[in-house]
Amino acid sequence: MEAIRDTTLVRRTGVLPRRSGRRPSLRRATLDWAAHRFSASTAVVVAVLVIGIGAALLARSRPLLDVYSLRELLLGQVWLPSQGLFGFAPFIAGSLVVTAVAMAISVVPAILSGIYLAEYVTARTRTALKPVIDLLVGIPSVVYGLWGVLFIVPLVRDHLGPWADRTLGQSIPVFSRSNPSGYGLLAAGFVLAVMVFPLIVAVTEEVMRSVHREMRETLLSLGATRWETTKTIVRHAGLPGILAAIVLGFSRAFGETLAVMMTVGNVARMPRSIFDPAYPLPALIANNYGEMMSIPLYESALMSAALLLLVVVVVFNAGARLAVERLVRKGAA
Amino acid sequence: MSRRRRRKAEEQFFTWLMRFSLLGAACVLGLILFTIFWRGLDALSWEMISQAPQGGFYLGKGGGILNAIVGSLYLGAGATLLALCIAVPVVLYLHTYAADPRIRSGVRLALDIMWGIPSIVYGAFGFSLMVFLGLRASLLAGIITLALVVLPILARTLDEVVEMTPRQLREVTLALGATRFEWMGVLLRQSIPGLVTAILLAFGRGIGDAASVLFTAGYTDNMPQSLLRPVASLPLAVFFQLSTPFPEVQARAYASALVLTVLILVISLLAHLSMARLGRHVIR
Amino acid sequence: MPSLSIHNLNVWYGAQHAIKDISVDIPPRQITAVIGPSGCGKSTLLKSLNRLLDLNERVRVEGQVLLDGDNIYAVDQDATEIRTRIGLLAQKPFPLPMSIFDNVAYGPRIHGLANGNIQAVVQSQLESVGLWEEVKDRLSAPASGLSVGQQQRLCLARTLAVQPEVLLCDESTASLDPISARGVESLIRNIKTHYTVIMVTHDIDQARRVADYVLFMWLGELIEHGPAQQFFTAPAQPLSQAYLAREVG
Repeated sequence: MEAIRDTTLVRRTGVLPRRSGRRPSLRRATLDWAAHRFSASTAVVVAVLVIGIGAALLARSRPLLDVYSLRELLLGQVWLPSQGLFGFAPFIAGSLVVTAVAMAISVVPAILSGIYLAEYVTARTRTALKPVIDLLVGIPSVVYGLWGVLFIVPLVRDHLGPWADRTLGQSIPVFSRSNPSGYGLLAAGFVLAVMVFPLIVAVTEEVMRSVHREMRETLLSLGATRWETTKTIVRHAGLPGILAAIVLGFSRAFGETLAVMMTVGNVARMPRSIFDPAYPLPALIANNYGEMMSIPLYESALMSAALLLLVVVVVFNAGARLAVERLVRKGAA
Repeated sequence: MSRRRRRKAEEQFFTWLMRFSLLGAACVLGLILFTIFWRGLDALSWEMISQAPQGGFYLGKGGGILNAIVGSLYLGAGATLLALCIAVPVVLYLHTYAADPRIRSGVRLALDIMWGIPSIVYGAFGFSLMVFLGLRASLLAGIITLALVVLPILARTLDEVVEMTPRQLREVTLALGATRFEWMGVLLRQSIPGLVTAILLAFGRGIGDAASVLFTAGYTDNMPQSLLRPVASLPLAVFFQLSTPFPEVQARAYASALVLTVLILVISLLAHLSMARLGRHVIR
Repeated sequence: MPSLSIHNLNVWYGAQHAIKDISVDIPPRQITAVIGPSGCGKSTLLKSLNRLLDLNERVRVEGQVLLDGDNIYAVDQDATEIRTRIGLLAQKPFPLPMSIFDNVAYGPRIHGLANGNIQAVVQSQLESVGLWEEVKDRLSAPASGLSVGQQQRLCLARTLAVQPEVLLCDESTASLDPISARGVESLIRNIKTHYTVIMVTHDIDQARRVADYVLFMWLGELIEHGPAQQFFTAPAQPLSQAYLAREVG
């Protein structure tokens, strides 16, 4: 016993009490008991937080929800808080469209990049590229927003807009240049696309790499090209995971605030063209917190917007995470 | 023969499409950094980072953003510390006392859900909490709200590191008669490199987040003085300076963004180094 | 018929020299058994023959593998085409996560071998491995529902459906129950009139039963090779004698 006690491991880890009897001393047992209670209570705190956030926002939204029906709020087109009109439709539409634009731009290249990193690249290249992707995730929203203002907005204003006006916009209203400022759905969508890109890449890569090595070897042994192998893997094993990657990207984009707010133009109108300015939900909350106290129900309305964001994002996220987890576990088993 | 050529062409086409996607992303990253550095360096001066704003700062007069730099560091550090107080025990609990796998996956799911909640929602929640507690916009309220934002990042990163500690270590430790509390200590010691990385990641995220502190920390031109007074932050400095109509002040937004970006780059570099460096002393 | 010959083949895994300067001609339309203790490089040799080692970036290959006189490691060679001509039956059956039918149809489809009658191709391949009667009523069921022995026969049908010239078997009966193992073994014996078969096995008795030609490997080196009868009755090398007498390995 003495000899074992003196092993490097014990010294290094420092677990062993100086004088140990057969049973932990009262002091150690008490500490153990206290640690158990304390750490378990922090786990409870986490659970309470998640529920508490939803409950608090719901409670604060009640005054508005008591007065108006959900239908009126969600489908109402007019937002005039001073006259008691709280129509969320333009904001919901703004959020949906800007997110859709972002996804349309980023989904295909992000999935292709994720597949490339998982299937085509050597382990060394992969470890070299990982930090770059982490870096992209770490850049603050406001920096992306500033980049949007300095680079994307002028690009849309001076080049993409006029070009669309000459070509596509003539026949397809969605592409007509409705707004010469450059601030609008396309600019904000582009910035958002850059922001969600690394997330979709990372999840796609993880999902693809969790596929059995044997499957890859089998397909290659049958004389399939790498691309045919990849296609088959995606179709028969990776599809749910890649869908989850898209959903995770969507919900990230849906709640993004500053970068969007800085580039989207913030006009509460139903969007008709991708050059239109819009006013997504997060921007609505962020822009109005200062003035909301004086108008009745205004604060409750903003909390309802937050609640709506929360519900959408949590439902999407939880679903996607569960799907990825199941898939990765199945691959590992 | 033509079929073979067609398959080969398809292979080539998609390989290049994938390379092109990745290259495009790399170019955009380069472009972002280039834009921020190029516009920021022009406007950056020693005065910018060594002084708080003076009178008429937002009209283009003298001063700097030291208040926002210090404010952001306080907010990030405070939030990370506060979140640590929950994250570390929760993660250790998951790996020691929590016997029921349903509890483990439930807590992890809760953390993942928290990770996905947009920071503007935390801002709104923090604001209603503040009103409830009778707090004004202040450093303290900002720290509490921001702690909610970084908690899941901290906890899930740490969780993954602890997950990697070898299983035998548990048996060896417990077989020596250690209590589970003492086993926690062993786990923590084993996970210190990962903990450092997680702390740095969380700190970086805390510094960069704006939407959560917009409501709760407020903004001020003064240096941070007390936990109960409003505090400036770098992301909001960028945002507010950019919203003014004066080009001189907008240029300061560029400089502020540069400072913020460099800070984030340094922190993320440190996080990677710490993972590589400290990891050498861990039993695998 | 294809000729397959190996010239001065060397394979390194990182710093480890796994295949040491092997040269040998593989006799066509016969079963060549590669035997030796585990870790002697049998599987590596097999995987180097259809360029499946390309997947591992730590592996370095030197020397030549000539298929009909063309080096499969030449720069202008297409690994995909090599793998089409040299099929592989793995150790553990791995049915692709799709239906029984699609498992067999996969190869003919991508290579365009069916001439519009994929049904007939699948049926004849399943018949050739004796699986048709067992599965003809559930062709669209997932292949993972088959028993392990059935799965391995399905994998054989899937490999043969690509119409390879050479068939590599990597201990293909090792993970099966004795009865299924015998079944697969006799299938392989029956097809040797059409294919050149190279079979890795650690089971000396199996090699005795099926092999026409034997390669005996030891720690990455080819110790002895020759017709099976000669090898099993009068091995030339002392190491081979000891191995056959089960004194080593």
